[in-house]
Amino acid sequence: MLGGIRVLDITVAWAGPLAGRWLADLGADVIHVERPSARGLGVSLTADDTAQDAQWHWGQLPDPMFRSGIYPDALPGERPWNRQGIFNTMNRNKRSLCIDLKKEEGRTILRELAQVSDVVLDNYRPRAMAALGLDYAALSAINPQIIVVSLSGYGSTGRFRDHVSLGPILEAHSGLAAATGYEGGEAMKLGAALPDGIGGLTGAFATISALWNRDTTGRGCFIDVSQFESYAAIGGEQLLATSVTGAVAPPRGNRSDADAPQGVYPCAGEDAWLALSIRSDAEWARLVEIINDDALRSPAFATVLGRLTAGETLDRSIAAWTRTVGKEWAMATLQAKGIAAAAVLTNADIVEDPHLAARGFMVDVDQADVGVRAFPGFPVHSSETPRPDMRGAPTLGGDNQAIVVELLGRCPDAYARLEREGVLAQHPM
Amino acid sequence: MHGAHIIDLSVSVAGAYSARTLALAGADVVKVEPLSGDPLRHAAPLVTIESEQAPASTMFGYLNAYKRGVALDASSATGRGVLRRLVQGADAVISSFAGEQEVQSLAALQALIGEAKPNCVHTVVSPYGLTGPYRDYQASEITDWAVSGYLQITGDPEREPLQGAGPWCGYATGLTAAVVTAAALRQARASGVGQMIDVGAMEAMAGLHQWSLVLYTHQGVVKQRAGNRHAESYHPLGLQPCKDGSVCMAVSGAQHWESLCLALDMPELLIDERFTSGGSRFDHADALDALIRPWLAERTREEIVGILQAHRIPAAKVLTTAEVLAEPLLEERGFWQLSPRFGAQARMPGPSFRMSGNDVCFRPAPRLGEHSVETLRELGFDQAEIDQLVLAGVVGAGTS
Repeated sequence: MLGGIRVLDITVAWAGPLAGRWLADLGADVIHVERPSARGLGVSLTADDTAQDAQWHWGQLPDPMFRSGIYPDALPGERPWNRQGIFNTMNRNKRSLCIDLKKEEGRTILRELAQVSDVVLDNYRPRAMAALGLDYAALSAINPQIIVVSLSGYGSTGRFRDHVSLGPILEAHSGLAAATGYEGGEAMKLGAALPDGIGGLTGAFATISALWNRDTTGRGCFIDVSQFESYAAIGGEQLLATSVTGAVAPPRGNRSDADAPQGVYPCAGEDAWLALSIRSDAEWARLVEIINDDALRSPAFATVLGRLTAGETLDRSIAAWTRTVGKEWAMATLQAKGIAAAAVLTNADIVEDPHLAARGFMVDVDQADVGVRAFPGFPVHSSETPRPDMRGAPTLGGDNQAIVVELLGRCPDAYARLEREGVLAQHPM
Repeated sequence: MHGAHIIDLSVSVAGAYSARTLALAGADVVKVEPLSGDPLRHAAPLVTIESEQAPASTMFGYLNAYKRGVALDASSATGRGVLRRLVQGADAVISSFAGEQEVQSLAALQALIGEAKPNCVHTVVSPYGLTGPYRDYQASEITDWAVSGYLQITGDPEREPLQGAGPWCGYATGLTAAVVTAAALRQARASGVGQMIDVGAMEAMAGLHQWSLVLYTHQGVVKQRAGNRHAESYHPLGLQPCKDGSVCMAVSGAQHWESLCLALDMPELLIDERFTSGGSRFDHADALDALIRPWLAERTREEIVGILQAHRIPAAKVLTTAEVLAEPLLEERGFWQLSPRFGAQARMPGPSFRMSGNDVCFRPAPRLGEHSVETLRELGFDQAEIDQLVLAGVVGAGTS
């Protein structure tokens, strides 16, 4: 859908690369612009370092960057910078330009690239982009059609524009961590950094909107996306309510305001759980039939009001039953009777899930320096658009030549000099 | 998305949020509800408004701001005729699907759209997608969390896992739908070919894990929950108690660690063998907490964040919803949209991105049928026809 669009993706970590990945999956030519010290590696690797890393196992690495790189089979390999699972998940379907923007010539090349690109997407701090001469003022001067998307933690204006940000701190700041928690318990962050996902999606959406507008107006624009605001926005109904009543909803654990019973119940096996919610008296009656515990047949529980106040009693009876069954069996059995129940899935369960398999979610990707591995694929289906290819993430600087020689027209001698002088690189420096 | 016309037929958080997102980007969005109204009109949170008799849903009020509203009984041939005209004036239709009982109506809707406006984009949001073994499964907020992979890894490792505090899977699915709908709209305008987009919440959320899935495919590791700590390799990364509440800080690599030791004025930690590497800091998290918590306990959230950020360490206060409403940054950024129908002080998030040259006008969430007459007139119905439709109970024309 975005064929013919070129994006310079100057991003790191998760939110920024995710926005660029969406554009790449939708068909844009996305050039991931990275520094020679990129992919988490601030120091060059010696043979000794590599040997030591090969011996690590979970929990005992000297440098957390290697852990978070998540290598296949825990082996960094000969070129660890091309084997990081997180990077490779976030940057599939993109090309890589590895360039030193601290050098004037690097910045010159990037400006030339901006002239033949449609979008510049970054998640650096706003001041950093300005310092590099890559903010909207500079770029729109050389390409009036350019769309510049700044996807920063707190936005490009305001008192926190220079704050360093990461997903979990935005969970905290947005009020959503304080709203989450066991009944009577403390604020709780989620197990994965959802703000980055929301921020990345918002960045992708804003970019496509700008492309739509540009199709009719012929003009580019500057888009200032605040990950903090994007995330706070998904708490909108609570913010509106509190602005009216002044009251803050206390954490409610796994309960629902309206439905009962609702909760997460232990199943047979280790750390195995079932989530279920009963939305009507008829649904309750069906659950009671399956569990077949006379205590649950009490007329006191026939209505939702009765069930809302009997939470712990119902939990005990339900858990007594769920403990004797596997979570997948429980899900299938309850769903067959039209009851909203779901096995609580681990990461392993998701990778192996039969429904996601039928939907083609996990895809085998031939990843350079890795071989074939399963990666999460494209999560949406379109009737007229074929599923996007899943090309492996690029090697570090793997497209330097294609971009600088073929696209920008530098001659091979000039390219060789740029490599020699460290303006361009294909390994960490 | 100026110039795009969207019909929102959905009755779910995901559908409503995708349409809201498009509206905030400049699209003209008309929400079409059954005569009995969208069931989300009764969804919590419910608040009492002075001028209203029944409690009002802020879920509905938030998700459907920036849209106009039509009330329509599309079950009759006449009603379907009105729907046809609405679709003909639209570039995209957003609808929601919730299982087996809706298969017929979805097929009928697809047929109507295909015949009335072949270049229309039709986005259908659902919990599990429109194909696959779970397609007809019943779903709720907590089952969305369960199959998203987020529930298993959230909460205390010593007890049951914990859901997020809101229908955030629906929000994320709605955003995902907005991304692909916008791309499909652009393509339809260029090529004249519409299409159906199938967005399932389970997949949308499965695609929003940074490393959960990679951990398994690359190393066979099942991701655990760790409460307010980082589950894998960094410490301190997470929530920490302090004098007047808690803060969240994110100390990852060597640079952050050195900065933290300087910020806390505890240089001795830099040479403490237990903490020399990221891995060892993680492995000795309890000991490290015991050393830094007294420092935190003497300082407020504001002070701690100020000090850590000055040392370039990611940190923020843990705020409640009420404190977010009072957060000066958001006032400064023009984040809030006043919502007079809910009260003089009432406000909600406005657009979450600023696009130069993009102005969007606020509309409160429509009363049932508030814009039926106006919308039908725009489509070319004359007053007599409209009156007849209202009289026949096909169209609801709410009082404004």
